[in-house]
Amino acid sequence: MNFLKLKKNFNSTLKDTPESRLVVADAPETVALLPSMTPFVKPRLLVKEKDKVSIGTPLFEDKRSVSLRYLSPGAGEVIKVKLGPRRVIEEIVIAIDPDEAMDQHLLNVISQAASTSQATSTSRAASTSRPASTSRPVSVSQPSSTSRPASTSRAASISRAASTSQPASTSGGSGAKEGAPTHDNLSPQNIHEIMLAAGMWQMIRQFPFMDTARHGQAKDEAGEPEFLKFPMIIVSLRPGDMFSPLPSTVLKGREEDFFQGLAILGKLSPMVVVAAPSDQMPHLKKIERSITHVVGDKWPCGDPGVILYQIKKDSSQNRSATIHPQDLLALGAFFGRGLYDLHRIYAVGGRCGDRPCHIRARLGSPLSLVTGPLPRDHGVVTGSIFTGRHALPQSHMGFGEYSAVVVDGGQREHAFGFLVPGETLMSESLTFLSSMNQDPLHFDMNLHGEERACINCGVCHHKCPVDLLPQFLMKALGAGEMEEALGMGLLDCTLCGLCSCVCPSKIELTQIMGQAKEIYLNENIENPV
Amino acid sequence: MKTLKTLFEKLDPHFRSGGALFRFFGIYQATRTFFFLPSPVNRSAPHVRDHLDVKRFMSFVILALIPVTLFGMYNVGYQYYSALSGVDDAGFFQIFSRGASQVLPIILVSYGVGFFWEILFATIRGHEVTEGLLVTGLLFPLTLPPTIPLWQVAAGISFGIVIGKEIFGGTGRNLLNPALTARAFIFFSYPASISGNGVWMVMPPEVSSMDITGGVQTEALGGIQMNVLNEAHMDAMSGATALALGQDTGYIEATLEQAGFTLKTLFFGLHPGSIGETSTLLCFLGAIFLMFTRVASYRIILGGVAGVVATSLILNLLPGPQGTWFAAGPLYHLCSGGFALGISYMATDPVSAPGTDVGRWIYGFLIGFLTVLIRAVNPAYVEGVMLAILFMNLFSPFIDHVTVKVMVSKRIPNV
Repeated sequence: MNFLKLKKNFNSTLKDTPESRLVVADAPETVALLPSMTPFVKPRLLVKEKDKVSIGTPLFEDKRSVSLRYLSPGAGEVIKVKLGPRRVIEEIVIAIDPDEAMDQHLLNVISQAASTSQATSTSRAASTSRPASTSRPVSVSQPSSTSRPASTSRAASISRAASTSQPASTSGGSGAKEGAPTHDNLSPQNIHEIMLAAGMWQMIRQFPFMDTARHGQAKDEAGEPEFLKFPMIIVSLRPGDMFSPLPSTVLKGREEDFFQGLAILGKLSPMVVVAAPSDQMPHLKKIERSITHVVGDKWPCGDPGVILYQIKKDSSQNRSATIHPQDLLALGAFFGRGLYDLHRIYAVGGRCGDRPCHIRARLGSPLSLVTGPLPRDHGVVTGSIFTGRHALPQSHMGFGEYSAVVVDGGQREHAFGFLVPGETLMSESLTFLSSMNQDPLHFDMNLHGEERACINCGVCHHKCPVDLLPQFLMKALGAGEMEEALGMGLLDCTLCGLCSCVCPSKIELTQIMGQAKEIYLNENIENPV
Repeated sequence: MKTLKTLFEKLDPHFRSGGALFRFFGIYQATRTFFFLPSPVNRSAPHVRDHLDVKRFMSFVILALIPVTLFGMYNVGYQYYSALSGVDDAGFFQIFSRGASQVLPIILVSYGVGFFWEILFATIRGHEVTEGLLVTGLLFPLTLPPTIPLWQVAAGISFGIVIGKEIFGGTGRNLLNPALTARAFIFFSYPASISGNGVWMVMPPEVSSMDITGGVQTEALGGIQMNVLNEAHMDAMSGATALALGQDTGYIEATLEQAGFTLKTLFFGLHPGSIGETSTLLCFLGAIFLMFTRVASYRIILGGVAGVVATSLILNLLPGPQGTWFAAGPLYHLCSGGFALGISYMATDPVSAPGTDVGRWIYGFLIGFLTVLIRAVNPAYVEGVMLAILFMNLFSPFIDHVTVKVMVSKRIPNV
């Protein structure tokens, strides 16, 4: 186990971070997919309003790579396709039917996955696969055993177990190992195809753009498609900030899915890195043997891009990949138990109605379900307060977003803001008294100043976890010198947001870098090297 | 506070686009943001932002300069009364108010004229009045002798703000430190007001009518007529700064001591000189405050001190004239002249300094090196800090270029 030390991180402690306790949310009335939130995708709609869809019906696909389809997280009627400025598809909202059915195509994929995974019998998976004290069934269970022939009738048995409030789990005991599928028959190419068909390939994000991995199109000598393995896959158990779900809560009782997921990743890459935050290590005894690296507990120590920067040996590892731990669990459940897991654990923080905690809810749940009613002048930031989005209250949780933070968002001015001692004001600098104590601080969405020209103070560089010089990068990009910016390491930027956060001139450094990376990616897609 | 806020809210529409007073929006905006720091809600990630902004950043430099400024005022009064041989009779407030009455007009003119240009450019260009002037407007007077004519202060700050800063695009885009640009302008345009021996202290009329630039001074400095004048009085009358001393024979330490410049005097600052430069103690206390709060780069300051110490030690060891600043040890070099003021407040101006950490060490060290070199081997300029910093200002883009290249070459390429 290696320790990765990172001196440059976000030091302030903030109020109202989520506690480890887990609450199960009610079943949502609507769920949604958010195409505009999916990185670097040019969506083409495959449904229209008033269409009936089932779980797994493709809702949209990527125009540039049509095999990437985004499947519906719920069954019911498409009640709204919300368009934003310039006809960007913002949300596809589905009203959930009481009787949710699964798409036939997805059922076939599940049975294919189950039959290819060479599994010894495991009866447990069939019986305990459904969680949640929800009144309606949500996740669809599928026994992974191959002892019975794959049939649609059996696969369609949507579990109606509504009693147990335990998280979906194989009861990870001593017998877990012998019952687990070994996936020996699965080639990387099989896994790739199955994941694509199940709409799960999008879970794997590839550096340096954190876009959906565009791997696997190579052909071997015989002309057969061959999967090019990733140089490295990084699983950071807490890839988000202080408001992201705690690995101890997420992994509780799901160790077996975790190992299954890692086994699948092991097929896709010779090197799977599992990084755990140091403060969580005492709670992660059960999976300790899988952990390869221990990182700090502050943002952005757990950011997979930062971990990659710290451990990469040469530039061949730049195209490594990463997967969110909860997606990894879903992957493990899918291949190990044939369970198409539609639930995620969301961390809720900030001034949310109840105390900050973890909430188990459907993928794409409405924000109001997750956060409860908002206090006046407050907004919701989903994803992460450093990298996420400022969501509208009527919006839904997006793909890849695992936390929702209710943040103070009122317009205000500070009287004599440049002179106050500031014992309660959040700052990474030492110019406020708050730097003297470690008490959790209030935080808000305000800019705390006006935008100015860069004064070259270098605060951004002193916070950059990947040792970039954001002030010089910003100037190079402002002058249109993309080559120079690339040479200075633009693509190492993980968009962690610390530079923008601390900039005294309030320059949107992160935004500038993100836009530059996007421009470069789009150029690369159109003119591949 | 509340009434003020209501007042601003009432006035607001008049200054907005289309209002009758729109052309004065710059003044209005600057005043309003002075009282109420704006804090709009940001809509893009990251959603939490640090409370530190440029206004506070610059205010901290001013905060660190306040003791230096107040002491400067006191010292001007002190020198005045010691020339009258009445420093013991005069009370603290008498001394201070005498000095303040000399220094405050300089500061007011500097700020007033500076703000005029700043607001003019901001209004024409349609951007906000920036905070850099707060520092420039105070730093510039501190580098001036107390006897400077006010019209020269106005001319100097105009040059510093317009040529040194605004034609490049304002704070953040300037190549040179505006305060030092302003001082260099005075230095080369009106050398009589800012160099020589007669300008560093405010003389009482009865003393200044005596011949102080002729024989008395020369002889006094030679230590010949020490019996004629008591030490303090002589020092006061000569009005020379420590850096102007030095001769072919004897030892520099002895010369300085005879002229009243013991290390202690130089360190605490009760001697003639530019308004803000005399107290090494207060300058470095301010520097420590700025280094602690990370507003100033400790790399530049420590690099500069290291540069002075190393260079002066080497020169001290070399065979050379023992009577000039060539042979003065590190302590004398650190404590005399404007080095402490320059390295703490001018060299650490982040805009005109390099942006990389290594670059800042190099930059600071070379400022220290050049300062000592100019003092020791260039007889034309007794004070080297201003020229050293301006020279290194010109070099900082080059230092950045090289250090960034080196840093980039160490990265694992990612394209």
